[in-house]
Amino acid sequence: MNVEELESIVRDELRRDAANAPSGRQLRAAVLAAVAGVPMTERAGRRWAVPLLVAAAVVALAIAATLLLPRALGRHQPAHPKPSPTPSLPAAPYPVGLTCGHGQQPVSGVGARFVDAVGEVGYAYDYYCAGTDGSRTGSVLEWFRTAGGQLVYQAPPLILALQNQYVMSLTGTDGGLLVRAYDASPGLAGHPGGVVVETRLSVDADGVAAANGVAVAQPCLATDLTVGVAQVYEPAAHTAMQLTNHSGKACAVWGNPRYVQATRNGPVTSESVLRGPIGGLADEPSAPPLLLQPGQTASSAIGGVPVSRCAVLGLSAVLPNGVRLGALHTSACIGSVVGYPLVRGENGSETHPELKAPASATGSCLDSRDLSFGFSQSQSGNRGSTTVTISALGSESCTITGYPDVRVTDDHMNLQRFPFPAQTLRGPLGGLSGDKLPQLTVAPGHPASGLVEWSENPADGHCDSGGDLWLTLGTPRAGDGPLPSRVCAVQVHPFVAGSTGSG
Amino acid sequence: MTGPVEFTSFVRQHSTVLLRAAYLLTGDRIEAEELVQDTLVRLYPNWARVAAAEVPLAYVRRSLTNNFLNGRRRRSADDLLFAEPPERGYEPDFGGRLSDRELVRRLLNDLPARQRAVLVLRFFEDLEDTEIASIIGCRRGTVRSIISRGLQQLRAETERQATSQPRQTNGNRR
Repeated sequence: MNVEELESIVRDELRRDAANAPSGRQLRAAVLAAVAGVPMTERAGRRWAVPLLVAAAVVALAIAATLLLPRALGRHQPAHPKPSPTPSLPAAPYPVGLTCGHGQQPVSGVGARFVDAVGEVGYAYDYYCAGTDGSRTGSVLEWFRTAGGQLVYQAPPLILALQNQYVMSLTGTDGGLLVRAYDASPGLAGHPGGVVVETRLSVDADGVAAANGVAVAQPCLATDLTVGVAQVYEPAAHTAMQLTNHSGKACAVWGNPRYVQATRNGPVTSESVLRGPIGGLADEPSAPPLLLQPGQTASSAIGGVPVSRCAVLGLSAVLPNGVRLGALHTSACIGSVVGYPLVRGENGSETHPELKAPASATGSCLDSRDLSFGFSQSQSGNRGSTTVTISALGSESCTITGYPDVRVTDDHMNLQRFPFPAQTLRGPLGGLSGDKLPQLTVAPGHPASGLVEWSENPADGHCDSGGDLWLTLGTPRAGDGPLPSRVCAVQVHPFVAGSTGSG
Repeated sequence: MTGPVEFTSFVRQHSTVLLRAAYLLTGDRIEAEELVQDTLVRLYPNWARVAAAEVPLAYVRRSLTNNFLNGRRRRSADDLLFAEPPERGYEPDFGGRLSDRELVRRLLNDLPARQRAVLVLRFFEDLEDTEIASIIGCRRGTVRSIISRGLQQLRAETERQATSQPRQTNGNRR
């Protein structure tokens, strides 16, 4: 065999062998799922370098002017002034008795208007120093009276800076204020810190008197909480740890949970952030303590640096006060964990609360993980449809009734609901033949399916951008049903028995 | 071509061809999927850099090959150890004489990662020496040398097997 023959054989064999490569269908879905919620770095080309430098200089000047000019003019404002809690409350003045350390900045927290014991109006504001990493000092509570339309500082402050005391709320009362504060100090005898204390302050012409504080809530212990990990979708698809207070009394949580690698097969690093592409705080420089009433939920988004190997990731979570929440099990494609702070709600985002699904399916299949999902498409003229099929993976059966909750990926690979999906029993391409939603049992060999149909003709109804069609069924979800770039008059038909979407 | 939409479009358009290249490099369907997925996910955050390349697909291919070669270096730390090597994707030889083609395929699978990568880039991707050199990170002369040695090795091995196998077959008949 000469070299030319050998080269020819090598070329042929490589090409023949390449035909055995996987199709890439699953790969595409896995890649897109792995990068969902991961930010892209904007990199400008060299030709933009000079304009960008000029723009940066302008921005820097603007920032400097914003920070320095008010001081020069005598209008002192905290570096992070917050909107007034109530419309009638004047903006918080610059704190008088607060000195922040290097790398910290003064922050105004909550505020309140109150009427003191002699009938004079006062204004109280909570201040603290925050570091860039979300750390904070205890609160200082300063108060002011109005004179000539200006707020005039009153000494001494209502509360001096106390380490680990974070004011949560201020309420004006008869003759003073009710202050609710979270005490992050470690508890006695190894108990976790995090007691919520209410203190009544009386203010009169002689000064300020504080009654003994009353503990209104204890820190949430692991036994008080139902700990879950859920797939959520706002502002981008991600995983969130959910803590629900199932005890009969209020309890408090605060800060960024620490996620610790519990199994060998997982990430090795973790970091905490205040906010990011998948959630976190709106604009506060430090996480607020949360008082969870019975039944209320707090959540923390869990992000990460994606890697290709998806695995059952063993993580255990620990709250900042040392309360261990135990092991969390989630399937993830991340190489290091990014922990977000606890916020109210289900998805770990203060700014993008999870939207409730429209009327969709009910039944035990919503909680089943032993299901496989299939998508098949058909086209008839300018109408198209996708049949979404669910099949039992194992030997167990489950029930389902109602409409599939379908979503579509937007330009940023976030899952969106169709703004105007019509849930109809049937349409031109199929659906339910009767008028009553069937109670279905999904068992081995007995799949259920729902039909999503659309038109490509704008005259037929409202048009939405297409993308990849995803099915949400309780916690699990599936995808890889590509739609045309534009779909109009989308209709979703209920689950029926079989795999055709009609019957 | 810098945003998530462009990334999605790239994945849709090129995942098949990338998978083929990855499969030829790894010789394993699952490893190939992992390799492509890992490459794309790693590139995603800096997709603007990929998009700015003259040929984005070439950029991704280069990254894929580098990932493959780097991964091979890390394998000893990451992978499970087998008492016996896992089976390769060729058909079993039951003692009959292998055709030259089968033999070449088998030998290709057994080449060292770097040598195999160079042969794949040359004979499957049809890349020039300079392009291969920039992907592998070596000089042009080194590429020529690797290809030449790889082919020599294949030819020598083919000839060795061709002369030894009939004897084995006869031996079995005895």
